[in-house]
Amino acid sequence: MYKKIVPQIKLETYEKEVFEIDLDIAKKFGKLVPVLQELLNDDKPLTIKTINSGTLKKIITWCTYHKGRSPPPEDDDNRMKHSTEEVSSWDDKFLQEDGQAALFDLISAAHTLDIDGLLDVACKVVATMIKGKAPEEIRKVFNIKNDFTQQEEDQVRKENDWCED
Amino acid sequence: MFLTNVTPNLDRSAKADDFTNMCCDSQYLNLYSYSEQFVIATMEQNKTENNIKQKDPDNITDSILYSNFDRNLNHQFPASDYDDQGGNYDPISELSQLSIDSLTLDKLPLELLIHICNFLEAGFVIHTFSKVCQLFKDLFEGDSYWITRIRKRWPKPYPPVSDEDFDWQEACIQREKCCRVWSDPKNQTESIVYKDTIFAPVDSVHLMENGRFLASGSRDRYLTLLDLSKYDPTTSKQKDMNVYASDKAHKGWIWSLTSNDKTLCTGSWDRYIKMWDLEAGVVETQSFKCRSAILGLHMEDNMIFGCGFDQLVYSIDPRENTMKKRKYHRGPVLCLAADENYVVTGSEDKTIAIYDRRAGTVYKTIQLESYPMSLNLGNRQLWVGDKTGGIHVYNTTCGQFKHIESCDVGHTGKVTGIIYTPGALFTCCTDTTIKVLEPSLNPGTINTLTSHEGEVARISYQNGVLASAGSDVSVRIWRPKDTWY
Repeated sequence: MYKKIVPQIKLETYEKEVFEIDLDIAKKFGKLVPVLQELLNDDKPLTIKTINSGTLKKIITWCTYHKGRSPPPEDDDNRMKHSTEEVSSWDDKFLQEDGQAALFDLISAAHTLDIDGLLDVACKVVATMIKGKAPEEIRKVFNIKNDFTQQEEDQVRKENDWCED
Repeated sequence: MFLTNVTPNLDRSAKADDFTNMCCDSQYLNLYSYSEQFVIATMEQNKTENNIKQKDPDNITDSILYSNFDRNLNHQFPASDYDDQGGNYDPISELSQLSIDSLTLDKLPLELLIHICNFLEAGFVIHTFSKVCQLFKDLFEGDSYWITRIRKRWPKPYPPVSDEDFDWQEACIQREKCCRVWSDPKNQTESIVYKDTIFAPVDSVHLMENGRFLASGSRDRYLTLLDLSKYDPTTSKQKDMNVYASDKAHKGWIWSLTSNDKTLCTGSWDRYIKMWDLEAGVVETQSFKCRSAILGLHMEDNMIFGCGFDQLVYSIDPRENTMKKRKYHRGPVLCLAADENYVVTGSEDKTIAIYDRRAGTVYKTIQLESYPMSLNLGNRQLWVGDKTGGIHVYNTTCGQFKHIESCDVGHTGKVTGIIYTPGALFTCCTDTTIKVLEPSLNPGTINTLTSHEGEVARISYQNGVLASAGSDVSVRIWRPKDTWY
């Protein structure tokens, strides 16, 4: 009987492309952990329609890079540090290089597959993109429509004027 | 369920059932339980606000949520269409849709949007991010998000006394700011050591005018007033800050300081309580002679309360130039705090007396094991620091003054000052330390400031600025770098 040297599981993306993923990387996908054994025994790929090939490729690259760097244990002190920790330059570049839409797809996929570290770091990158910008700039950068009525806008302006006094 | 939005759509294989079940059960809740609570809380709120009638309990969650947030769900992959058509779907048309309707910030599932915002400062979320569009405004408008945000980061009971009018948004801003500033005062504050006109241990400090002016009294009988806005960190010339310094203000140590608007009030061992007009250039306007040293002061419009070594509590009306004396302690009265209803005094007789201002009588007496050194009244709480380093908190809602908790925060001397704010609890002690604590029950320590080389006699806190009086012949000031007057 044929036996794999490196155990792998198969995932099929939205585009029906099949990826073979090493077991130790698949272990990072929190959602898959309970069914890993089953997936290993099954030759038929698991289809995840909400994730496209580009995103899955990205996830695999990220997990491969971060392999062996286990996240610090969660305690009171760490939780605080964790949330304020700077994003490494590698992560920053890696997550931003394909543009905003890809980043949001990645966040959504990281959430779907429950990849804790990736979700946090990607959300932090988005937070950094938002930080320090005025509402108008945020609308521009993220292409968000200003759906406030004129009246509400005036109200906001009034509040801000009051703040500046 | 709300979660269906992000649950992956799987091939109808044998595995699919397992997977779907998994997504819906508790597994999911580990990471996002807080956001779900939030969503539920928001839904509750909206339910009552909009009076939506619940027809079908299974379907209502989505419809309420999305009707209220006016979300366009088309951005998701059209998986439901696929299900409906039972496999007759065209991947090419879907692909084209993908390129048009790829995710954007305002179309992310709400819990992911919230997760991103958890990495932004509370003040920024409220004052800037909420102003971007209607959806963001609705998300962060109510208390729900802020309650969960605070509870997630600081699980201890907060606020120490519940309050239906509690401003959770402001509290979140303050707590995050205090945590950021005081866990790293080296980088986050300008630390000023003032020694210029001080030649003896300092007994009292008092910040006023939004933390811009600092008054101090020392055992060389000097009354000093500093304008902190004149501090220049590049030259560190202290003379520029000095507005007033004189040893003629009192003929004894200036032990207590307070203020109301632009009037400074001083209490001294020379038995005088004096009022000073700051606008006129620190000019004495009125003085009142008492029977002994004045150890504690409180000032408001047309009223000054003082307490003395002679066991008396004084109330002075400066308009009439009248003074009333009351004796209900059997030892020197060491500290005093007051609000519109009560005057609270702590004495060496190991009691705290609560005087009802309207009834004109002592309404309640609290017995302590060791005598109180410092008091702070406000936010429905009375905080007490005692002689042996202990800290006690009482619930003052409706005047009950009920004991909630006594705790040891690690002080090993007399707690000479205690100040509670929704952002942090500050204490100072004769063990030479100042502690910045979490403003909750069973408070954890944010930081211990150890820069004083001698006993710390008093602290004052206003508009984020902290000042301390040291027996090491210095006044120390920590001012957050983003302070403006």
